[in-house]
Amino acid sequence: MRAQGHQLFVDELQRFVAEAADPRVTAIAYRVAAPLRVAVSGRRGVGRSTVARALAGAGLEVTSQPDTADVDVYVIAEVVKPEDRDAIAAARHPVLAVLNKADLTGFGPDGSVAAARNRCTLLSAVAGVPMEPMVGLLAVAVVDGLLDDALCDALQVLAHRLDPDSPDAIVAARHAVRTEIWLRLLDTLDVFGIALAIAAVRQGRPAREVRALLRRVSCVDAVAERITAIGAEVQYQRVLDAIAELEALGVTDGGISEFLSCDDTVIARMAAAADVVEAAGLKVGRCDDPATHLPRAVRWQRYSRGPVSAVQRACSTDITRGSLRLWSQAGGSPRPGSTALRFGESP
Amino acid sequence: MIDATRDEPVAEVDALVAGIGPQLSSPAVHRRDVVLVTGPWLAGVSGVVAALRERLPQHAFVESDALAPGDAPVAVVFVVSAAATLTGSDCALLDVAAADTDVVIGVVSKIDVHRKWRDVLAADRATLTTHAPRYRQVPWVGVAAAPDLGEPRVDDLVTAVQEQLADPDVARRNRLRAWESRLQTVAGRYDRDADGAGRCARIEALREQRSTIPRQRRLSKSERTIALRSQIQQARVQLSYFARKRCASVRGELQEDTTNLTRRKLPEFETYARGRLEEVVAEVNEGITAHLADVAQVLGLAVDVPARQELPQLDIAGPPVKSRRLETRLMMLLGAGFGLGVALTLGRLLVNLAPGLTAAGIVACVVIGLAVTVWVVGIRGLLHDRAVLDRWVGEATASLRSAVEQLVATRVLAAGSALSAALGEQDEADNTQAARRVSAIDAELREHAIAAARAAALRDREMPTLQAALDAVRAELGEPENN
Repeated sequence: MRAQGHQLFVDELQRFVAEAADPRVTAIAYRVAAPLRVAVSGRRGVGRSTVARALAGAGLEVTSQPDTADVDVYVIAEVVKPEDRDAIAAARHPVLAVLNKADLTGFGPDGSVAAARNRCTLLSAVAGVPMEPMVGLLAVAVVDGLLDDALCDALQVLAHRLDPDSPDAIVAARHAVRTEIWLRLLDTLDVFGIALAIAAVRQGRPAREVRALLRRVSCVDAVAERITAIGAEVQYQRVLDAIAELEALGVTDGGISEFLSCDDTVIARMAAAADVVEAAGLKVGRCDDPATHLPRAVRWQRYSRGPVSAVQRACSTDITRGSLRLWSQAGGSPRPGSTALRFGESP
Repeated sequence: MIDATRDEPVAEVDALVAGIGPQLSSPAVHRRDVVLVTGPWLAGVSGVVAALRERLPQHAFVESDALAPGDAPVAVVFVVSAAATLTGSDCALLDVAAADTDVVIGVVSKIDVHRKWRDVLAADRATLTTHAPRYRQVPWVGVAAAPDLGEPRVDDLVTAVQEQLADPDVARRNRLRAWESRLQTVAGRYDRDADGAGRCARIEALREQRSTIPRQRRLSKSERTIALRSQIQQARVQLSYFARKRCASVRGELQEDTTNLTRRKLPEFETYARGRLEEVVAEVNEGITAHLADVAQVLGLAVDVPARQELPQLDIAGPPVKSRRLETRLMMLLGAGFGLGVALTLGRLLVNLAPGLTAAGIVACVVIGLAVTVWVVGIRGLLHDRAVLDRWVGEATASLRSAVEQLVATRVLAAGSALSAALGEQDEADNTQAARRVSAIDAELREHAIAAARAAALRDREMPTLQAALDAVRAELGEPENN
């Protein structure tokens, strides 16, 4: 799940900025559109810089200053040490722990990444924060384009020379490529990555698919999505702040208050709120079936009356309002190309 | 398990230390002929134990849970993973495991999957050496005890363990290390006792308390004095108001009574009014008593407010109802004239209307004139008496008012002095209690000072011997003397 709701709101605001050309609104739009900043930390030798590089390559804004971050990523390798627990407990932002070197955690019945996922469940309970496995090395190799054509050719050669019956097949086949290439391959992919890539090449997959496979196995996208989900609340808070500022401006400016109350804005707010509650594990049920709008509004209005936090209440209020707008649009004549339809089409 | 060749170096070391400090008690360590394999969580300890047991069946290898408290192994194999470098918590774990054992072998495990294990090993070695100089000589090896693929790689470890255990100096070094640990602990205890971190905190708290007590005393004393003054002033104002209000209400009540007086009740009125006035005095007195008792309670003073034994006597003269002879005569004259006029008028009317009834009519008219005369005189007398009584009520309540005001003033004054005296007594009691607390604190501070001095003296007496023994032990271990 990517936090699309926030982006939807940002898009709506940008459109309004383009029309209104008000420097104050432009400043607010600039603030609300600021990307989620991630700070990466961890013990020495666990692969902090690799993870930071991979996340930056995956499109996140990685900052070196923990004070300015919105989400902290704490990297561990293999095990949670007392030092890790202390550092996680001392974090001042939402934390996602990343179990790096997931390929080296050991083999399980379903392969090493599945074994790493099981290990994550165990360690997550110890650390007290959510945890995702990752193979930083593979992620960097793919997102930074380190797996160049020379290495792909070497993989082809190795795949052809490989004798699958030999116990140490890869080591036996390594002499088929030049030593410097072999060492670069090792540095880029490590043994696990090489084995994976060779297996894929032997299945006849092209280099593009091999890269996609390595990227999937590296779990970098899963980590990035999880970070975005964890940051959804931060983003939503930014939306709320922006709305508060715009409401203050709207007292004297009719255009702004019109923008705030128009269907597209209300529905974009609903989408941003839905991201937050879905990150908290609740189902919002986004579908374009008009019959679900009213029950959803009723359900979330009831939810907002329960014992929930202020942010959750704001979220459920926004979801209720958005659902009611969608419902009234469905009852009338929905304009083609409106946000409601685009929103309805989103997964 | 401990044979003669093992006992000898132990005895030698004991003799060395006993030569420096014969009173030093030897370390209570039970040396077991086992090799302890330990390490942090998930480092691969059990794999290394299994591999060592298989490769070196002549030696016993145990994990840390197999050792009872007080047991010390012959050697410690410290296993850490090659996934990341050593941390402070790992070093602390090793310190505990190898407190009484000098022989330590560092193992970096899982080298089959971590290709850069040699870098990690070098970093581990550097970290451990920085952590404590005693680990400078620790041999480090890499193992893959239970690899997922391929053969186990434990040859280096086996060689290292064999080498270390074959060293004839092992028993002596271990005994020296046990002594070092023991002497270090004792020295640490002396230092702690002399520095007394807990004692320092206690002394600090006591000093704080000691400076707080007089300040609190001064504060509470001035607070109470102010409270007493304001309560007394308030009581005076409230009670005066209460008394005046009672006077006004009794005056209104009595004046209303006078307007309804009949001739029959006239003589009783004075007694009744005097009774009411006395009741009011008693009521005000009770009110004063209750209010002053409340004041004493608010101030928290256990004192009986002095009660007034006899109430003030109201010195009021009787109403001047009797002496009105001249007025009575005038009224008689005027009344008789009025009655005569009425009789004559009626007589003339009767003669003109019914000339036949002249004699009887005249008699009736005379009777009527007489009755009118009597009635007019009587009414006038009653009204006069009422007016007199009304004035009298005004005067009586005025004198009642001055009496109750005086009562309030004198009683509040008496209560004020009684409460001040009680306050003084309480202050005195508080002072005594505070002085007692301060002296208790002083006594405890003195005790602490004595204990600290004693601990420091003990340290100064014992430390040179301990330090000498420690230096000797460290020299034997080949370590720098200043740790």
